[in-house]
Amino acid sequence: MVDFDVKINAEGLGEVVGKKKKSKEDEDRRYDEQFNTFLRLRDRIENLLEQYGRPDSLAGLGDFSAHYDFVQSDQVKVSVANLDLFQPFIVYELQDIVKEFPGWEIVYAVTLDDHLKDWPNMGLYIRGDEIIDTLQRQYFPKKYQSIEYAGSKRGTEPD
Amino acid sequence: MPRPQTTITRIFCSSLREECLKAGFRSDQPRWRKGSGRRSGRWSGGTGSLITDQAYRRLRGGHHYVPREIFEDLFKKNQLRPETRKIFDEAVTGPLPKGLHKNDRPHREYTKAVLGLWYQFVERHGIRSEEMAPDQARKFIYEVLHSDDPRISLYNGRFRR
Repeated sequence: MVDFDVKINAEGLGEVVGKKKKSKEDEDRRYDEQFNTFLRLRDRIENLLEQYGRPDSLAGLGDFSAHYDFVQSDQVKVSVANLDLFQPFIVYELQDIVKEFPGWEIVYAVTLDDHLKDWPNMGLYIRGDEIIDTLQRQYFPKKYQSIEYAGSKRGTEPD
Repeated sequence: MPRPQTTITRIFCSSLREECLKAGFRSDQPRWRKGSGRRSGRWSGGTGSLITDQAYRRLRGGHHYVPREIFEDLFKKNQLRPETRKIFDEAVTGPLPKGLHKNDRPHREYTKAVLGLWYQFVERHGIRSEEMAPDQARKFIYEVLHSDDPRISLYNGRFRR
């Protein structure tokens, strides 16, 4: 019988496996917590916006869609197809909601069906303590060009 | 009298058990009988015949091939059967990598395109959403996955490795 003279430190190996398992469990727990927060915030947003517009559904395209695709970031994305939903009082109500979720933000994107191709990416990044405004109002019909959000900062879309 | 397990045996068995569960097998699943050729001794039933709780949890949060936001609304209005909704809900990519904090206009285009396919599908099959059976939902998902509409194929392609 060949003796390879290999000594296995069984206790050490057990410790390594145990640590790996624990770190996987921690990672799963963090993922679940973040995902549950995402779902709660997403549902709050949808409940609010349903008071002012129709959500997209298999019955037809509506005024907005709060995405369910979770990208492991502290954010909820909303596609908005009706500029009426950019009225400041609605945006402030969204901000009130996101204040209850520290560190989270709402990406509130302009996605008008007639201008999916010819308008650049633009929208609002609504956070508890600030609103980053990347709207390019020159593209909007006149009645929406004067929309302003108190205390917001003008920004540009990330690449 | 059972043989006492050494630490190393315990680790090996536990790791083997985990691997089997990860692949979707159960330890009590039937095996191919001796004399079944190369399959002898292997578990029958096929990989993925069972999704463990842990594996299911890791599926949550991925990209839904039929956007959840559009079928969930029908379900809330009792216009989609729970078992059909389950099929749509489980048709996901699995967890997505950490995403950028940016606008996502192609998502709207994707939703629009999937809706277009949906209208064609229900018309072709002469069904209403509340009548849709799980097998029909699977067929619809298949059509989404194999669509050559670039708004669908390119968007889904972002999630393939």
